[in-house]
Amino acid sequence: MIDNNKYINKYNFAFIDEATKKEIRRKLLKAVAIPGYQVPYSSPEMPISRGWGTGGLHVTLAIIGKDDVFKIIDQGSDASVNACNLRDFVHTMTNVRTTFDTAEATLIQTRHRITEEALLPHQIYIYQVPQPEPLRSVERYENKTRQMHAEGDYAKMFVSLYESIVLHGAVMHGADYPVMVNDRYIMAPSPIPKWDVPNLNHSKALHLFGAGREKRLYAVPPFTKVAPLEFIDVKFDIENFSGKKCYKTSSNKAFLDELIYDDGSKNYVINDSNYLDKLMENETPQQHTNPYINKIAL
Amino acid sequence: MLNRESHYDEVFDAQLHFRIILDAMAKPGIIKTIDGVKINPPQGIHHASSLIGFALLNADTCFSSVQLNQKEIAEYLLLNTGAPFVTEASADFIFMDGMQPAELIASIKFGTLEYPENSATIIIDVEEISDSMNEGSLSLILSGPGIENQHRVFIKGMGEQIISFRSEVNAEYPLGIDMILTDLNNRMICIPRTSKIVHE
Repeated sequence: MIDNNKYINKYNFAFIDEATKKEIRRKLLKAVAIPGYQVPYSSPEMPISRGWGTGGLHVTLAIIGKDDVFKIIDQGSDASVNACNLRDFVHTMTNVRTTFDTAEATLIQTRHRITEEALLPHQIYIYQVPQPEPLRSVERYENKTRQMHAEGDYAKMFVSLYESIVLHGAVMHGADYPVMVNDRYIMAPSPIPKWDVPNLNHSKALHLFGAGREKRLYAVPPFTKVAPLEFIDVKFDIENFSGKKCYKTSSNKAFLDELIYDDGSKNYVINDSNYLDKLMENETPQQHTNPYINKIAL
Repeated sequence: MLNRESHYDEVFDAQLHFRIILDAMAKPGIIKTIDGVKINPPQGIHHASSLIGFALLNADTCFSSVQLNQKEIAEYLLLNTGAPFVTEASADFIFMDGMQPAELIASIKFGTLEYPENSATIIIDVEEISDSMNEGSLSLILSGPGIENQHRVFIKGMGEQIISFRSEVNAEYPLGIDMILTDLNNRMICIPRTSKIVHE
């Protein structure tokens, strides 16, 4: 008797059907060819709700292959609930090896952080983006923001930053700090802290962004100029952790989380769980270098 | 006779080849190899170009060919991908030969300022892509996003006028066309619209 094993797997490899994967792949190529420009795409249904990382998941599932090693973090942690669930899903649907080790991974999906450890040229870094439109805070209509991008008309954005400085003394973007990509498009880097923004500039890795709810894909190729918006007299700067240090490693040269205890006392700990683990095991992971981090004395 | 390619795996070969193309598009001018599958494309289209077609085309997109053996190539790609053959003016992907005159692709899509991605990707068959100088090859120096400083690549079997045509239509960035070049040894490079080309 001939065994029929055609339907032995309930789902296609990587869940998404091949026609939709091809559509996402074609859009990704255009996104890479036009750095920072948001390409509309299909955003197919997933077994999780839009807005919970479907954009990143679409990108991951459209590009992942059998030989990839997959890592996923949520706010720097491999163990957060969003990361755990999506890791299980990707593993079930593809059977690829998963890892916590940043250096070993070939695909890294992230929610709201860039790893503390420097990225390698063969790695692809995939962001889950809630709001891909950096101009949405100054212009509510999509057809108008699209026209502003088309014409490179970013006056409103600069006025908004200026007003923020006048009102509050600083640009009040703690996360998702707007950047200019390749001197042409203003782009939302997803809600990564300011600490991570300079690591996008002339990165060795390819960065892909997926916004599932808003149905947009965009990309930053390696060695591309990514400049945070700033003024001649008011410069961009990263978070300042001087006077604070990680209570486990005594380091303050990494993005720190604030821990508040029941009695009101505070401690700080390195946010990137894999980087923290490596430091605790006396390994020496290679950190990103940029002018802002380099200034910090250990 | 044209056959449906039975050795081509639409899931895993397509994924593998797409990743090579994505890597090449992110690092313009870096030479990649795209093969590993036994296929029999008709005369006039490279093995690697056919595999790129297989990886990217399906019924949701469309292509055109200006090659000499246009009719057979069109049938072959339609049979294996389901993508319809259309005129150059409306095609998302255009297959051409590096020695053909650039006038053949004069009317192609290069996007609008609102939707610059609505532009053609051209897959060009050349004789040889190489890191070293050969007799009669064009020397291209690429720079721009994806390239650390600059990158030099040598192309044999492509007319200079295609390069001048490209710089003409890509003058008003973000409008423009993206190119993929393949050679007889299954090597390929990508030249997205952001790359600046100096040629000698």
